[in-house]
Amino acid sequence: MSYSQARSQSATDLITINATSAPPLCVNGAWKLFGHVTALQDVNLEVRAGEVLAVVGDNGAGKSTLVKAITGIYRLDEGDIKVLGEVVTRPDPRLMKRMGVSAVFQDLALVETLDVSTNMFLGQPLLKWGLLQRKSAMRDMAADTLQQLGVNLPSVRIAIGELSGGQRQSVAIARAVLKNQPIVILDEPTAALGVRETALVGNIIEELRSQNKAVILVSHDLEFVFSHSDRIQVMRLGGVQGVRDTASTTRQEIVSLITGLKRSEGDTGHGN
Amino acid sequence: MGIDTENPVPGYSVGSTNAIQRASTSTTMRTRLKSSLALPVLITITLIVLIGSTQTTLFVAEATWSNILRASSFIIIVACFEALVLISGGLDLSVGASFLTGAMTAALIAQQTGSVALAFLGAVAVGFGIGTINGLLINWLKISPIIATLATMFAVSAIVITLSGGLAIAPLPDAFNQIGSAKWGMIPAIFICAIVIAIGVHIVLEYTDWGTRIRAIGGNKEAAQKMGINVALTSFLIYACTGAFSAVAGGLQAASLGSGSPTFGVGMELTVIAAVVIGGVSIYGAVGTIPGVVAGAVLLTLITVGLVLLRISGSLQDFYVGLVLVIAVVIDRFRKERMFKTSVKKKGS
Repeated sequence: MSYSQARSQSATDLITINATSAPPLCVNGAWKLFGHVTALQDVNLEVRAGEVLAVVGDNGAGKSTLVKAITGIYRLDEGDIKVLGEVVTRPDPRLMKRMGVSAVFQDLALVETLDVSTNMFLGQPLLKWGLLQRKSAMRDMAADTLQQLGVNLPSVRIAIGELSGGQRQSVAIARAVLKNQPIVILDEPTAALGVRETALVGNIIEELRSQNKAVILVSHDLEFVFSHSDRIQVMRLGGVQGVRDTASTTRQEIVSLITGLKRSEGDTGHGN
Repeated sequence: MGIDTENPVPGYSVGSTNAIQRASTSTTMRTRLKSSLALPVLITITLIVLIGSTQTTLFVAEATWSNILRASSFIIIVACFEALVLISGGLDLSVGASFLTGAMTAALIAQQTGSVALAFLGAVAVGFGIGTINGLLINWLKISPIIATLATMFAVSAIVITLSGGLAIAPLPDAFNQIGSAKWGMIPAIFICAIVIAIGVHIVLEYTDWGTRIRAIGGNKEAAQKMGINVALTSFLIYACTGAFSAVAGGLQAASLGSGSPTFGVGMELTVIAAVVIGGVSIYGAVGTIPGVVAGAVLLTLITVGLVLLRISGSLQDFYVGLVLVIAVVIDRFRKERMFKTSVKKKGS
C-alpha cells in the first residue's frame, strides 16, 4: 500500500465511522483496583465525534489509569469500554489501536535510540510482502505529517534522543494523528512545553475537532482546557466528580469540583 | 489539512518534506558509525595482520586464514543471535550449553541414522527447546535473564554430560564430516554458512518490523508495550531462535571435528558476549549491528590464533582478550553518553 493509499484508506475508515450514530468512545461503570487502592470507581465517560472532552483532576484522581484502560494497557476489573458502539471484551494496546484509538502518553512512549520516522510507525508499520518495512514511504509520511503540523525538525532520520522536549512532544502527537484514527487521547500534552509549543498543540487540537474526531484531553492546565475543550469531566479520588459544558461553567466551579468542595447531584459522567 | 502550514505558530518555521529529508544524510551516516564498531574493529584486524606479518609470514598464510575463518564461524553464528538478545535488552548465558547439546544431538543422530538432515533437525529441535525454556522463564515467570539462563546453562550441561557418560560420540559418518571439511577455494563451507546466517539476521534486524520491535523493546520496553508491540512474544522468539541456532553451530562444530565431545561449548557464552560487545553491541540494549558483531568474532579469533603464531604464552591470551573487551566496553560507555550530543543543538533549533 502506497503512502497516498494508506492515507485515503484511513480517511475512508473515518467516514464509515462517522456514519454510525453511536458515540465513538464510551466507558461504562469502570472499576479498577490495585490491591487495596481503588484507582477507578464506577467511572463513566462519553466522547462524541467532533468534540474535545477535557478530563481534569488532582494527582491520584484516576486520570492516567482511565487513559491506560482506554488504550488497553490496563484491563478493567468491572465495567466496559465501547469503541464505535462495539464492546471491547479483551482490550490490549494493539487491539485498541486497530479499533481506532490512538494516544499521546504522558511519558510520550518514545524510544530514544530509534529515529523519528521509526518511532512514528512503532507498532503500526507500513510493510511490503507483509514482512519488509517500507522505510522510504514511512519517512515520507512522517515528514509530511510533521510538516502539516508545523513541526520543524532537521530530519525524520534523527534519533529521538537528539531532540528537545518540545520536539519530542510534537513527534508523539504527530504519531497519534498519523493514521487518521477517529479517537485521539492526549495525556498531559502540554506538561513540558513552552508558550509557542503549547500554542502549537492548541492548533492541533482545533484541527482534530474540525476533522470530526473525538478527542480526550487530559490536562492540569485549566487555562488550556478552557481554551480548547467543549466539555470538562472532573475526576476526584478515582470517581467522576462532575461533567460541565465549558461554555457554561467557570474556573471556580471546576476548581471546586477538583478539590471536592462541590459535587453536583445526579452526575453520571455522561454530561449534558 | 486545515492546519496553517504557512505559519501555524509565530516563530515555528516549516520546512518542506524534501528539506527535512535532505538534512538527514550526514546525520544518518553519523548515527550508523556511532551504532557500530565494525570499522574500528576492521582497522584493528588490519593492523594486527600488518604488524604480525612483519614477525612471521604465517600471518598471511592461506592455511592460517582458513583456520581463523573456520574457528570464527561458530562464534559468528552464536554471536549474531546473542547480539539480538542483548539488543532486545536481555542476556543469554546458556548458548554454550545449547551449543554442546546441539553438537551431541547431531553427532548421536548422525551416528545412529547416517542422515545429515535428521542430525541437524534434531539439533534445531533441542536448541529450540532450551531457548523455549529460557523464553518462558524470562517472559512469563519474570525471572531475570541472567539467573534464568544461568540455571538453564548448568542444568542442560549436567543432563548432557550425564547422558553421554562424559564420553565423546565418534566416529561419525563421512557425509556428516564432509560438511565440516568442505571448502570453496580457501574459504571453509562452514564460514560461508555462518555468513549466510549473519546476512539473514542482519536483514531481519535492519529491514523488517521484527528488527524494529527488537530494538524498541531494548530501548524502551514500556514504550514498545504501549505502542502495541507484543514484548513477551518478541523476547520469547529471540531466546528460542538463539537456542536453535546455537545448537546448529554445535552441530557444525561436531561435523568439523568429526566427533561430538562433552567439552564443546565450555566457556563459549563469555567468548560470544565478548565478540558481541567488541563488535559494538551495547550492553544497555537497543544499539548494535550484525556486521560489527561478525568483525568482533573474527577479531577475537585472530587474537587467539595470532598470539599462538607470535609464540606468546597461552596463559597471556586471555589477558589480551580481556584488554580488548575492556576497551570495547569503555567505548560503549562513552558512546552512550555522547550519542545524542549532536546535530540538533548545533543546528540551533
